[in-house]
Amino acid sequence: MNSQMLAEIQNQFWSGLKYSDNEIISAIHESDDFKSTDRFGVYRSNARYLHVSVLISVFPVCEKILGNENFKQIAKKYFNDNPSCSPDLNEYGEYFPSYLYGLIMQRAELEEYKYLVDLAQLEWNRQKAYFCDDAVDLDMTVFQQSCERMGGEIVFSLQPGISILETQFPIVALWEMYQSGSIEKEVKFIQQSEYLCVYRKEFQVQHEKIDADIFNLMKAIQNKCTLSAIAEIFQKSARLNAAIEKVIKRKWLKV
Amino acid sequence: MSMRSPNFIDSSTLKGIGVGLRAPHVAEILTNQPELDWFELLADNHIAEGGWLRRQAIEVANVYPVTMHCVGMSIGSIDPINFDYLKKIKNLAMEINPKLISDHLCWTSLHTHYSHDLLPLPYTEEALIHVASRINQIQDYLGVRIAVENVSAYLTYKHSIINEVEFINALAQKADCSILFDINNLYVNQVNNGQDSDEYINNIDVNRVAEIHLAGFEEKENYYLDAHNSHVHEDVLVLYEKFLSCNKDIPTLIEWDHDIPEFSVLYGEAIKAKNVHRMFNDKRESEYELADAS
Repeated sequence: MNSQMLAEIQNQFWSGLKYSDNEIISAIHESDDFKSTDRFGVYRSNARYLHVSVLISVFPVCEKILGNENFKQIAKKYFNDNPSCSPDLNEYGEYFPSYLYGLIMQRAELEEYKYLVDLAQLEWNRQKAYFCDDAVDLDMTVFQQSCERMGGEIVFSLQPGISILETQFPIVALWEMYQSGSIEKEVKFIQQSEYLCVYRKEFQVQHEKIDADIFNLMKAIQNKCTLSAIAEIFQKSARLNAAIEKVIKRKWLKV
Repeated sequence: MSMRSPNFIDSSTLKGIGVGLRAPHVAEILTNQPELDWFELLADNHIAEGGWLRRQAIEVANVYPVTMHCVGMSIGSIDPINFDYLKKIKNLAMEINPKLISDHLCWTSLHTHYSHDLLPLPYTEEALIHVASRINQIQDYLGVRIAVENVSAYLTYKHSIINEVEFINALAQKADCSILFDINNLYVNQVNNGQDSDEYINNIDVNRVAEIHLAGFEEKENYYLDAHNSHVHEDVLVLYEKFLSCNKDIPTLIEWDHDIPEFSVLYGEAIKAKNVHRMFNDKRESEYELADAS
């Protein structure tokens, strides 16, 4: 018995799922009415169908804008280039926004769809928020004690599932249009950047526009900056205190 | 819940007919609390340690006995075992106290990439030793005995030298695990691969079977797809009756994962299975009474 046979079969099978199936085909029994290529083909089409379906469910607004057939073509390519790295299928699609970016940059005819990258990122962040851990209430006593003890060296964190986005496209308006059943494909730059926060309140995923101070504070927190470093970013302005207060009030912060 | 030993989860207390818990039915189940013996949770849907799906699992487990059915252990893979995944499964188990944890006799991952499909194994001595060793590691980590399900397959390998029922029996013995006997998969494999269902039913180690699955399949042009999207087929029910005549009371689950119907339809399927189940239980009881009387 060849002790490496199991590994060989699994390697050939996996390769066949994505590329050439010649090697694995010769290892499969066949019958007159069900050839080995067709037998293996069931697995190949099941894998593609499943991953493409997941991407459609995670990025429904992008799918609507691109059209089902176009989206499926892109999703199939994404599946080939980005196999799932987690046993949890809900984690599949993380790199889809950057994949779209690469695609759009490569093809001049897709230039008008640049906004899809940010829209896809919003959809992905909503997916992450839906499946994130529950938030832990911030104990103000502990919070104050930690601030006193650590002073400027304290490092805050954001509650699970909270993410921020900066965009120059009206993606919130687009997302809302989709929810109401209509969709706009011609999207123009907006004059000023929009800042968004995605979060989960109880079991409901939400997103809302935030101002630049809150965005900058949350970005610094995400980057694990100390309070002193954040104060430098804000040039010791009183706007920092106001921003911290707002973030605490929204229950987005933890220590 | 503490999960100290493989015997801590007592699957022998699992009785009767259960159905697979699906999100669209949860509100109705929690409100009306239908007369069902238990629910099976597709564990992977509930492993995120927060959010609505986790809460659903906990709320249903507060009212009904539950089992956890997994798809991500990749029991037959040559990859190292994913202990991060197992940790999530263990954490969920500690919260909902399942009567049984199960996964499939297959592999799903390679080189840390996941297919999310149940890929078939060759049935060889090498595979038997490999899979048994992994089940042992999984059971040691979880601290419970798991059940391993026979999967539907669209191909068999020329390398296989052991038939599936012998393989799964030997595996259960070697790894000291239970068997989850999916009778729909058995039937699908009979059609797709010429597997002998009668031989399988006659030979499966009934004392290791901790649970039965029944489901519907979809007829394709030249094969049956294990789609879990329709009623349990009459031929599958015939095999079910045949197996129940083995003289053991085995809990049975109705699976319906796609094109999910109203809960009443799923409940109807459970009642159908319950009638068959009850008929054999009654028969068994009367045989015991006769034996006692004599």
